[in-house]
Amino acid sequence: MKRQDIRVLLMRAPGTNCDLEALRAFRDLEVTAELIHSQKLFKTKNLDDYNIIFFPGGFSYGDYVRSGAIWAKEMEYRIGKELKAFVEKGKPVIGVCNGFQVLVETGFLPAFNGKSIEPEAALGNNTHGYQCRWIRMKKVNKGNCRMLSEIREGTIIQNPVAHGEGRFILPPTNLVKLLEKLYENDQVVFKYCKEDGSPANEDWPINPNGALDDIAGICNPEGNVLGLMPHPERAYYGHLMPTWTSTGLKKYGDGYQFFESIIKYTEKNF
Amino acid sequence: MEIFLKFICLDIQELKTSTWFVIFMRFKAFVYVTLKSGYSDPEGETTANALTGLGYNVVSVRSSKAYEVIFEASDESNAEYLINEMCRRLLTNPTKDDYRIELSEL
Repeated sequence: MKRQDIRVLLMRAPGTNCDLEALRAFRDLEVTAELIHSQKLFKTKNLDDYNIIFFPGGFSYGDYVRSGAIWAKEMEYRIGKELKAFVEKGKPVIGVCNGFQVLVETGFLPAFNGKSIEPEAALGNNTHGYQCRWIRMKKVNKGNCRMLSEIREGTIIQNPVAHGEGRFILPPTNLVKLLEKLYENDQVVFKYCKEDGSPANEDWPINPNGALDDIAGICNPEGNVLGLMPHPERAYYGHLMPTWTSTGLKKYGDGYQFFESIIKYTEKNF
Repeated sequence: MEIFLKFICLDIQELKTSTWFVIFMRFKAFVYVTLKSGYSDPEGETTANALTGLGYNVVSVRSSKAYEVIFEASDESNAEYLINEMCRRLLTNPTKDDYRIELSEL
């Protein structure tokens, strides 16, 4: 597929943010990206027109009930079938921050045995309340998340986080078994780490929210649904990085490789 | 007790051969959602600090949410089933939340 033929759907709902940053990042990569309100999409239901779906961050529906819960359930009863069909075709679906929360609440992540009706994990309260800071995360995925295959395993990426509920947790009754399964399936994609890449060991603020085993992002067992709490679109350009004054200004920042990899994967495989 | 009669037909063929009437009753459920023990609760901790600052001998505060849901069901057991399903699907995330229901017929 030619790059200019790739169509990206960026979903928008009341309260989403960073959607324009993500739109700009995709357009900079010369793909056709459209920012569409989910209510409009609920009427047309034309997900087949797109190759990639991106759920941005924010506070959809004012975080009523729980972060992402209302948008997720609305999606389930309005375009649930279409979204499931999109995922089953192996097309990339990405959720950042609130988008990650939505994918967990809809049951597309972690989806140990396919899409679940009830959420199988949670993005709970941060241990230190709302966190807005730059963090480092290391790509630990061994290749299951093929859309990020352009990013080498062990690469450290500096990205900002901004959330009050982003602490990845699994049900306490079955925690050890499910965590093992997550690693067995190669579903862990990013982990919070120190500057040298060593584990954060759930220490704040290196692990900003107290996430289980420092997990910052996961994918489904098939690898085509990806959710992460940090915002790569906020680190797309070099001038957005916090260190550019000391390290020199480059055109692109750490978030560039994230978007570039997704587009290259789509170019090659669809 | 308020009784609601609702006419239900499965399809056009059913409509021609039979008619069904189901009695629906109205129920009120208070749903209390709390975090499972062991999970951090920054809202509760911050509130405890503020109450301590106001001079109260507060040991701890855990925040929770409460919903008042009025809904229809065919009988009490159906109502219990439905409200539990609502809790599991939307009102709580079973990974981190516990919930308690107080159900009454209106």
